[in-house]
Amino acid sequence: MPLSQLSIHELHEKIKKREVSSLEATQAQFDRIHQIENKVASYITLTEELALQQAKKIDAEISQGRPIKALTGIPFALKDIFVTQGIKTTCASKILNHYIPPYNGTAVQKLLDEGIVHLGKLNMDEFAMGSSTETSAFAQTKNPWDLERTPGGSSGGSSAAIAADLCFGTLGTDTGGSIRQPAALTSIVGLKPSYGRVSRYGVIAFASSLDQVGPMAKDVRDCALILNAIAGHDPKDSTSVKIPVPDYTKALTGEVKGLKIGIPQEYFVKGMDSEIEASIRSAIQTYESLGAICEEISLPHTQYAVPTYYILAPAEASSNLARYDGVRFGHRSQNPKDLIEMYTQSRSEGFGPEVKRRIMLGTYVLSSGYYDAYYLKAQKVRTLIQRDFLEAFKKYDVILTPVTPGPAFKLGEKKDDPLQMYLSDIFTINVNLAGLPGMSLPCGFTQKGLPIGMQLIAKHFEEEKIFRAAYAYEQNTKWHKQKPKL
Amino acid sequence: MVTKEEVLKIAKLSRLEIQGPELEKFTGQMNQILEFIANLNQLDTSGIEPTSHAHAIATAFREDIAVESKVHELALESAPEAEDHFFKVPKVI
Repeated sequence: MPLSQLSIHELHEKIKKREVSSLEATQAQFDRIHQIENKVASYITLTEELALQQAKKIDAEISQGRPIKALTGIPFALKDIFVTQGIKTTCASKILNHYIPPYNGTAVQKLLDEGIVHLGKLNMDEFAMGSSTETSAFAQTKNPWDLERTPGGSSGGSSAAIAADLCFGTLGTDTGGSIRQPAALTSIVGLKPSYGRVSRYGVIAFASSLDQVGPMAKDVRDCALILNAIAGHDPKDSTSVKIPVPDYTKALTGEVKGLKIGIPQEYFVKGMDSEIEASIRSAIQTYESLGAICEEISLPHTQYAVPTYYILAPAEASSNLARYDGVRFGHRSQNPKDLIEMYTQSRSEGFGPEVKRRIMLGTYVLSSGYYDAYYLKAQKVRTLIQRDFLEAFKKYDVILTPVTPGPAFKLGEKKDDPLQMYLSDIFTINVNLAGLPGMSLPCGFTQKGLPIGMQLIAKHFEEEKIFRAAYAYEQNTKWHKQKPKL
Repeated sequence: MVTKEEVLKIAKLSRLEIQGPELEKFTGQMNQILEFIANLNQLDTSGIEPTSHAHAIATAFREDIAVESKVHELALESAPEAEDHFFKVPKVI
């Protein structure tokens, strides 16, 4: 098997036994990138020289006795939303086209401390606003399983890069499904941890009460290893929680006997793709055959999640994106006649249409006279959505649902119809509103060979239950072993 | 429903310039989205507490100890225009 196809834990074993050096793995990764990246277009920035230097340094340190941790020497790439010291960070927006941050975010620093090799920055929807990576100002990433289709979004560069073996591990961010939806559409594993589990310091903000950082990788064990490295309280993020971080790999027992799984009836909607429904039903049977107890449940406020989200997320975004004014960093318009024109021109030139739409929607719902009708109302519905889940978790360990109502759609299909695009996240948004952990993992393919994902959701800070359930399923299926033909 | 005039007002509040065919398009799209959002009105939320965060968040206090910081110089490095220790902008008054 070519080196680039290995999982993180498989490569780790080889590095540990000194069968492969970090430099060899990094070179193999760049060979692969030079060979097929032009088809997939998953990266915005490649940092080849830096990566080779890092790999050599780590190999030298290993030969001098540096302990080889789970991620030491492993080539990684990062969604371009993560602030990286000395490396251009664009958030796929023209407004940050030339931005070189002076610091590393906490999650990135933790990975660097573990000894990862940093290959480059991955494409995404502009400011993570989108479900197809089509709002990126720089490139159109393609789905490795069908180059005419979307890799999902907003972490579509990350999903495509993992699926096409263009990096071993990545971090994504998830505000309404931006880790799980692209993971499902490309047959990889992606986890959105509980809100507060991973620091958001150094992650370019979209909607601060919903944003969360999480791993995207080739299998469940790799996700557990990455979460082990990045989870935990950070004094620089007051919303990160002081709860001890377990070793998530301990939950990978393969044992689900007696595990109680709830299947919410509201997630099997009219118009849903029949092949997706069949794959989910078949996954439920697999769990039953492994001794889990699967029962139908109800989450009655499910249908209100998307409208709630499209009040709260734009409202928070309109506030967060006020910082892009051409004063301190980012794009500044040339020759404005005064300060106000400098703000307006810099923003109008720098932001793409979807970002403008959301800033304006957010400004509208927060504007004088509309606050109670929109923002306050949405916050109250958020309470009801959260209560539905907490009620269900009194009886069930995990909840199993589809991730998307359909497989990867064609590029351009929904680009000019924002509402249709928003509805592609109907099964993932609820989890963000409630602040819960949720994972997408491969559970099948359509007849045309397009990936299908299932979602496992657990109570706040019970990621271990998700890992336990996901690993047991993965061990009994072979979906994650399939590779796209490129 | 929002009118084109209201969209222009929102754009001004957002410090964005929206013109011509873009204004037409945005007005239509915003109305479509607002109509969809209005589905929430079917739901009786009287007596329900609003949720602003996924879990209770307390203000993070720390000891009031001064630490050295080089943030000043680093921050100015990313500035479109800077002079001495300051960000420079067009004349305000």
